Order: sequence, then C-alpha cells, then structure tokens
Amino acid sequence: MDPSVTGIQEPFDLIRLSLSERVFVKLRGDRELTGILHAYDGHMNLIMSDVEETIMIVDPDNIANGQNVVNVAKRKMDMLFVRGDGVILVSPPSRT
Amino acid sequence: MDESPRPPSPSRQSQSPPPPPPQSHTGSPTDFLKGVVGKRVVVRLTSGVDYRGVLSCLDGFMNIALEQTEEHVNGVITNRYGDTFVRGNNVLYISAAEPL
Amino acid sequence: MLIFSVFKTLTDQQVTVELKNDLSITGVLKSVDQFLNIRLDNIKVADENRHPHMMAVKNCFIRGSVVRYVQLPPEHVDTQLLEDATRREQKTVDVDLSLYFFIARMYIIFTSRQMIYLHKQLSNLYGQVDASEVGFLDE
Repeated sequence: MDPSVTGIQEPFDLIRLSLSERVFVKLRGDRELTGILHAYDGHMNLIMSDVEETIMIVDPDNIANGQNVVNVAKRKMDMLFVRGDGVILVSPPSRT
Repeated sequence: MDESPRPPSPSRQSQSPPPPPPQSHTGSPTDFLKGVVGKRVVVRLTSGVDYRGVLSCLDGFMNIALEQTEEHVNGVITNRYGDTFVRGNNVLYISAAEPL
Repeated sequence: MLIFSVFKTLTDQQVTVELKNDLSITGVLKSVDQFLNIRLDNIKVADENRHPHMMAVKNCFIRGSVVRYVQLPPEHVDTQLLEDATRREQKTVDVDLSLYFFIARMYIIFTSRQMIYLHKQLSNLYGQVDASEVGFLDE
C-alpha cells in the first residue's frame, strides 16, 4: 500500500474529506442524490442538506420496444437522513 | 488412465528443484487484495454494474475507494467520477485489469 | 452512535419518514433507539388515497431497517456540530482500531517467541523433540 500518494489509507477517509462538500450518492432503487454532506457513520448512514433526489423510472413498455427511455423524477429536500443500507456509492466533488 | 500423455512438467525435465512459482499466482485472497491496491481494477457489483478505475484502498467490509472511475453498464460508459467510495455489501468481485 | 444522538436531539420535532415501500409518514418524533427504530405520534400519511388503511392510524413504531430517508427540520440541525462530531467519531474508531492491531501484533510476536524459546529448551533437555513424545495427546 502506498498511502502517501493520496493521503487516503482507508475508504472512509475519502468520505471524511468530503464533509461539508457537495457529494453525489447512488442508491438502490435507481435513485441518486446530490447534497452537502454533514455527517456519516460506519454504516454509511448519511445526513445531507440541500438535497436533490433523482429517481429513474424505467417504463416497461419502452423496454419491450427495445428503447431506452427513462423517465426522471426530481425533488428537493432541505435536510435529509439517508439510511446506509441503501447506499451503493458516494462520490466526492473532484479535487483537481 | 495412467498411460495418458501429460504435458512435461519442470520437475520431470531436471532433477533440480523447480523454481518457486511467481507470487501473483499463489497466495491467499488477502495477498491478492494487497497486490491490487494502486492498480487498475474492475469492480463488479451484484447489480451487474462495473466500476473501472485505480484501486486506492479497501477495508475489511470490502468498502472500496477508487480513483479515475468509469461506470460501465452493459459495456457502455455511463458515468465518470474522480473518486468514488463503493459500499462493500454491493461488491460481487474485484478483478485486476493490469498485470500484477 | 452519532446518528442515534442526532435523532435523540430531534425528539418532539416533526419529521417525515420515507419507507423503502415508498410510504411517507409525517409525525412527531417521540423516541428512537440504537437501531434507529422510530416512534411517531400524530402521524399523517402522504397520498392517503393510495393508503386508505393508514387513515385511522394515529401513531406508529417504525422498524429502523425499513427506513429509506428521514426528512429532518433543518432549523434544529447544527451542521457544523455534526461535521465536527463526525470527524471526532471517525478518529476514535481509528485509534481503537490501531490499538487493537498493535495488541494483536504484540500478542503474535510474544507468543511465537515464547514458542521458539520453549522448543529450544525442550530440544536442549531431550534432544530433538517429537510431538508424540510430549505425550498429552495419547492420554
């Protein structure tokens, strides 16, 4: 292991460096969130503010047609707790 | 059955002890995981989605941190992320995408 | 533990719990436990037409594992405090883990040295020691 390159020794370091930053979260059930991360724990339970949720709704009729049309529903929430078991991935803002 | 031809093995060609096999083909899963840190990998999730990128680190739950990540769905790139944290319970496998 | 504490500070506040089956319940948070099970009072279900059986229900207990989201009252959440507490909690976990690994490593080193020492002593006394000669396996 060479942690000197990124300063990241364990995956949670990546999340810790994203506190108070806007993050992208991919959830089970074709849901995505962007919001500002304020808290998390070892289960990846999250508390975020200024959240926009995007729900991808795939129309089964269009799948049958071989088309790839997804309806997208969006909504906003001020302050949100996200239960960790639904989290697939968290991506911090790119630091360049 | 015993008479069936076999590919010659190194030990039959010479009496000297065979060279130790290359480290990458032996060892425990843990050894593999230690070996792939810093390398390009494919992480497949149980949903079938692949994440290709450089493995920064991982922990005992198989939570994974990737750099330069590409999300592939059915072989098509659907997203790119600078860094990603993947929650371990979603991981089906980690595959090395370059020689170790 | 941190998130449990957050919920405890929000007792008697109004929250909206969204379940994994898409049911959304707004109510007053009466209590919460370490599993993030939640008790709500004065509940109101969003989209009652779709869930008419819920209209008569005034309060409920929600198992933590079925929760997808909880919408919190932003004015009662101190985000700066949360971020500091999160950093602190992660640090204590790190310290706990490194201490644990340190002890585990010392234990391995110590015991293997002991084993080597023991083996040497036995070899000096009896020549090469065969495991079967130790004897207790035969009893």
